[in-house]
Amino acid sequence: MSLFASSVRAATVVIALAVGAVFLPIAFGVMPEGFFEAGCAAGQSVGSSFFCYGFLWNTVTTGVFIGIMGPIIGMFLVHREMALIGETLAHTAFAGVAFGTLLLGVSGWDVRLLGVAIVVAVGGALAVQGLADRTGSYGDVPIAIMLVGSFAVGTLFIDLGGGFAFVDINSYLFGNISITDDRSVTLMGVLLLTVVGVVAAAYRPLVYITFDEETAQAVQFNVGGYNLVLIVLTALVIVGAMQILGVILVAAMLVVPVAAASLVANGFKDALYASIVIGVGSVLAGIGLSWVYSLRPGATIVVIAIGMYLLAVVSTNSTLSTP
Amino acid sequence: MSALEVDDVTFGYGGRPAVESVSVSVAEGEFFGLVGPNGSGKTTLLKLLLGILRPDSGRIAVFGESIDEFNAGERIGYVPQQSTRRGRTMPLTVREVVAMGRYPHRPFGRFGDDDTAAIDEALQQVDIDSLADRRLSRLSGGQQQRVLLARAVAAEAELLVLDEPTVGVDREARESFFGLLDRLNSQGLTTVLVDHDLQTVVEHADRIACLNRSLSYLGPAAEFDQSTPFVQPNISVGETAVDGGASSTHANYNTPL
Repeated sequence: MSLFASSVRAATVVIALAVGAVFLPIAFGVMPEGFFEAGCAAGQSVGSSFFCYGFLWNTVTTGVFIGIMGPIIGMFLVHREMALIGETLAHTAFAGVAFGTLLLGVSGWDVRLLGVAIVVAVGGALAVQGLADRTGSYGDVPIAIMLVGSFAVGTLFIDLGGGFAFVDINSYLFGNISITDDRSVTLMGVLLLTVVGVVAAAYRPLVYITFDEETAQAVQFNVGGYNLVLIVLTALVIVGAMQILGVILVAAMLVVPVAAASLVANGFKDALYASIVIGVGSVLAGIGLSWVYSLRPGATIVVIAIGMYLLAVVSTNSTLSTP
Repeated sequence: MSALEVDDVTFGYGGRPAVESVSVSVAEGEFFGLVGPNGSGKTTLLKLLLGILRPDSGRIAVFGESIDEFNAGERIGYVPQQSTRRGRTMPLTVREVVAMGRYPHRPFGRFGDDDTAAIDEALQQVDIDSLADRRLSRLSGGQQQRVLLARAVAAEAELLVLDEPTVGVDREARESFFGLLDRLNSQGLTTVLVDHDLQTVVEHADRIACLNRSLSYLGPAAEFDQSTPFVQPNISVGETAVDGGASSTHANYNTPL
């Protein structure tokens, strides 16, 4: 095993241990108070009050989950030339948030915007799959119509719901470091376990279908069923990632780490691990820098990830299309 | 028992017929060639045989079982045209691709010793074991097609179907590829080859079917007259193909053998 591969695997193990020991307990609200006090004290000892804010622990936890889930799903989307699907479903999720604000405005119900976004995005995912089945491909035109149509409908919902009075739509468009509350981070924990569990269980059929869909059909894999699973998981990841990255930039976490890792790694599994390391690294560095310099977290994370991609391009002296 | 039975199969895209009243039977262990001009329905017929498309009428059976009920994917190996694969940018190693041959046997759970042995043996048999850790996308077209053949060998498939497997591959690599196919077929692997290169198919196949929506020839490869202007548009069932003097071998083209 090369030094690169063994380093990537070691980093993946570290991330997995951190998720199990720190981030999942935070997500499910079972982390002892002493941990946060110790974290705050440790941060202050090096001159930072970052870890003294409870909401930032939620943000970091959500960010790490996004950095893991985005590339995992992205590995299957990017190599099937379906990268635009993520962007489309983000806009569908935006329509969901907007529909939630309309419900909130009209009925006064205590509507969970994230919950409505998930339902609408999954509905959008089913519609995209229906279009793909009907047209025989994930063609540019139906995807583009779905993308702009969702955004247009979302904008109308916001107007009908009383404009921007009820919710800070800007946060959903561009991401917000403080948008994740306790319930959102718990939902993210559930999403992480779902995505990792389903992909681990269906790994081989998903890899086969991504590489060679026609042969996968010939050897009797249920291609339609797995395609549906993949696109619904994509919708779930998109809604989760939308909180920090924003609608406009959310697809980046599905595409950029995968593009970078696919250039430097030898083997699909190693590329998957490398993309998770790049994803988590970009998110953590992006959140840190956005806190220090008061920047938009989504934009900061994406710029860092693209920096890593450019580094990969330079180091391999290659391109993604002819790796 | 036949490996493949196609009985009076018709299929069309949106009402436009692509395959009409085709009947063919492929015996176990046979090397069967399917030829025809571009747009003659070769690839459509192949997709029907593999269950990727469903016929509008007629019946297809694989190893005696109707294609609608057939679910033993591990018995089938398929080598598609290079251009039809989507995942060409995937960072897969040769070993990872060959290992896919075992996925229908073991879609979930850990590989057993038998899986690993089958992968190693396939790499050796197709003579690509030295490439095992190389990235597929960095190999030549001919080498990539050998890898896909090794995937079918690792599956220990009983029926191998190939769709123009050497398009864009240089002459030397083509000869080597077909030499390998002959060897696998001599070991009992039923082989169905679709190719537009008549010379190659005649050289390697036991029997040939010539398709132009319906069959215009079905018989021994040795008796196939290559000078036949087989690019006859719209030959319908029951008509005799224009065969340049070889009408006796072409007359019963719609009769299953």
